Amino acid sequence: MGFALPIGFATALLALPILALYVLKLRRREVVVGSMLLWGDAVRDLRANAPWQRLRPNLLLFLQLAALAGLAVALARPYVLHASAVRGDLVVVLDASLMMRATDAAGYPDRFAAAKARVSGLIDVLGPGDVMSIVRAAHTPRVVIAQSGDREALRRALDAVAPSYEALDAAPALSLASSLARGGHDGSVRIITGAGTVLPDLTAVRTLRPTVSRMGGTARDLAIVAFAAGDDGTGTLSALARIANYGPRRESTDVELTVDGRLLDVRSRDVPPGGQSDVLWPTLPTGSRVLQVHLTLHDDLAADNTAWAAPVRAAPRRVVLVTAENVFLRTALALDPSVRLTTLTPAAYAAGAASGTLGSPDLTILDGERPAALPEGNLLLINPPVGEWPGLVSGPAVRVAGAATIAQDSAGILRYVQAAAIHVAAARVVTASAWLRPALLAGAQPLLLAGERASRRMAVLTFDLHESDLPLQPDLPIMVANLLTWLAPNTSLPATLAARPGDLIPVAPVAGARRVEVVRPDGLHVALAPPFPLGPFSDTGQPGLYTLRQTRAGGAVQEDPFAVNLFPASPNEGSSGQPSAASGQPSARSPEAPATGPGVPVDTTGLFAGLALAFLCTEWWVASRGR
Amino acid sequence: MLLEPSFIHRLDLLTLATKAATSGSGAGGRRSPAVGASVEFRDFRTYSPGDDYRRVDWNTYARLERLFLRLYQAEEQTCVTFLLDCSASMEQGGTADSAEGSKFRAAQRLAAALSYIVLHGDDMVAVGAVGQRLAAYLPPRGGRQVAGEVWGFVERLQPSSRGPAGSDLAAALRDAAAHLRRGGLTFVLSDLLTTSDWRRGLLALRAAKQQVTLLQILSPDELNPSLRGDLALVDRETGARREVTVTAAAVRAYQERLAAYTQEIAAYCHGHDIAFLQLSSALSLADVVLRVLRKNGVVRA
Repeated sequence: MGFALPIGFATALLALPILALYVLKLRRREVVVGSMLLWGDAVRDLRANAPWQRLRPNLLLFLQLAALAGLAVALARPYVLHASAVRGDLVVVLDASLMMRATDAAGYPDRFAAAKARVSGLIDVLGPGDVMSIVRAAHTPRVVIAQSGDREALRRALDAVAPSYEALDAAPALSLASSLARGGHDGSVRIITGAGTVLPDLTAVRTLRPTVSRMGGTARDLAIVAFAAGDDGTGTLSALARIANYGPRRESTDVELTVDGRLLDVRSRDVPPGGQSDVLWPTLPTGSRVLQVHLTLHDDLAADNTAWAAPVRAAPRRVVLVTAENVFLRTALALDPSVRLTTLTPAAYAAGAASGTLGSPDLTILDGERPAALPEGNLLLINPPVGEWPGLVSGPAVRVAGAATIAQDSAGILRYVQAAAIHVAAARVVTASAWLRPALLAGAQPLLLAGERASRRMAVLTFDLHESDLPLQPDLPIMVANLLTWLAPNTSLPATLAARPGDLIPVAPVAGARRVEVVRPDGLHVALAPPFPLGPFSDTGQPGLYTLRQTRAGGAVQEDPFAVNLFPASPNEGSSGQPSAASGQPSARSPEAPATGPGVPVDTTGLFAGLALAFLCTEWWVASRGR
Repeated sequence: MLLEPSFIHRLDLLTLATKAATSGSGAGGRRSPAVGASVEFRDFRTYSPGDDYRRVDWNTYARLERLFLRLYQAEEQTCVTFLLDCSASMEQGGTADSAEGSKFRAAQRLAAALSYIVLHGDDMVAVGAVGQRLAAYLPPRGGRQVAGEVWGFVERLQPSSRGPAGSDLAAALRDAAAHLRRGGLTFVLSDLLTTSDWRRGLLALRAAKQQVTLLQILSPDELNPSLRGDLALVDRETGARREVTVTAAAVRAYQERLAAYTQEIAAYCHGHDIAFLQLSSALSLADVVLRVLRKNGVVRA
């Protein structure tokens, strides 16, 4: 214990006058009474002074001296050096990932509650002049409060933090914490996570004296680590679930499969510790849209006992090709079985457009032709004739030298394409709008442009295929397939979507979509568009079944369900964790060893002031009892 | 002046009440156990030679032809003794300059008033001053003309028993009892704040065939102390000094002790056929004589 203001002990000198009151002779008023006969017993026990002033043991004297001692110590501003790592600028990295929902923390509802209690304890021992920051770590880190010495503000911020369903990505959180800690003086980092969580190498932040506190112990955790359903190509729908046991003992559970809200099958599985078990449903009802698998076992982490799957349904693509004749292009388009190709001459297209028999194709390809009226929807222009086009002014063809190079490919239309193998003899000079960006260049001449405006996607090949060696390359069908995928997507969601909480999900609206929204598992509608183009859907914080709703111009609604599951991305992730050698106690040899130091002073003035007050109250009570 | 003239006239209407007949000396106005000559008929007795034939009931002789004497209640003088406690504690209640308001002054005035009532009833009065021993004694005397002498004796008495040992009321009462050769009434006027065994003194009076009335006189600050704080209490009688802190609890303890002491005196007096009254020196003499003593049967109209 130390004292910030030792001069406060001077107050103890008041003990001298107090003692004097008991030692020095008191001047008393003399009162003559008829007889002491009746007074003797009444005042015998209440005599405060002997006539000759010898100091006698006296409860009131003791209480007064004790109160004075408490007051003197309180005025000396006592403090104790707390052994905790709270010193200077402390950054707490609070793990809020899924694993913190495990209920194996003794005395707390879950690991996260225990972690919050630990942080609250750190706030309690925050010394004067020290500051604390709290970083919530999950899929992406977030600063909850930065460098605050206000305990109430810290507690309010801590109370507002809730655990997520996301996996932990500790590296960005540590990077953020490191930045925060270096912003102050005497920085340090405290990581509060779950038992068994694998953290990245802490050597990089060694100067910040990182310490790790682990919550929880040996959790029973049986989890669904994979669940997928799909068509095997024969029209038969099948599903596969994989169950992993992260707990310390063998677990038995029933596996329930629910299809479109109806319980379809129940299987029993017995999984050894550290093992996995697969459950296959080879034949499921055709046309099933939503599948749910659930483990009936009550373990320490219930969130990963349920998973969902929504088989992707690939719709046929309607493509209209307006060309005089292009066998290479027709052949490349015909390779995709989902393409319903309609090849028209410009005259036939004009007639069909005039009669309205063409409908609304998913993609219109204008190969060296320009109809009188440009169609709605997505466009692929090939060798556009001179004139104005949407976002484009096409000029005459010029000779092009050199091999092609990829300028950018944000749309993925040049994926797996070897640009260097493509040679173009002549290409049109084009002036494109900003939204139409070159993807393939030959020198400075753009060969391929792509862009999206409003709800229309458009790509432009500035050369005639016959004026290049592209038809002779295997890159032509690859490029056409890429262009079809981007210009005429038959699913609005990625075909191999395996989303986890916190992931971004790209959404490709169907042609003619006027409104796009997502219905979350809790029923909340999240609008994505308008405006177009829309970005990826990011509100994937909770696991469950989401529904992508797209409303077309005529009011028709297309609903595409998709699932967000708690599947681990790697074998090291997703379990509530086996305890380390000493759960909650980081190894002393590792960078996780707790920092040691002189500790921080914790003010104990209030304690001694309270003691002084208690002694004073007791003295008052003892004294008044005799009055 | 002990008694106001106007108050003396009010005493003319009062007589001393006694529980039983007393044996006295000489003819007086108080009934005697002896058969005497008065107007109050008591009994018949057969005539014996030598009897006073004037007392023969001739009407009875006429009817029965036998001689009977008529017997009448003898009325004799009774001696009433007033024993005043002259210990220093009786000064309590007065001031340094005047004894007015003290317990002793109240005792003096009460003795004077009662002696007047006694003398007015053709009885005799004796007065004694008790302290360490019987300090002064006025032998019995009767007749209204001696009232002034009695009052003068009473007024000249002074509290005097000071000393480490205090007063010895028991010894003084025993001394007084030795002076009382015939039965009579004795009033003891004292605060009874003494360490001596007052019971033995009262017992000696009873042994001397005295009807004893004990009048305990206490000052207001003894009955209900108003003392508080750090004080040095000085015993008026012994001079002992004691430094104390008087709290409300101490006062409560004092009052409890006083009540117990009073109860002890009353119980003893009741067991020994002694009348007991506790009086406050703050009461006026008229209030004491005309209300308190009448109400308790010590005097009657």
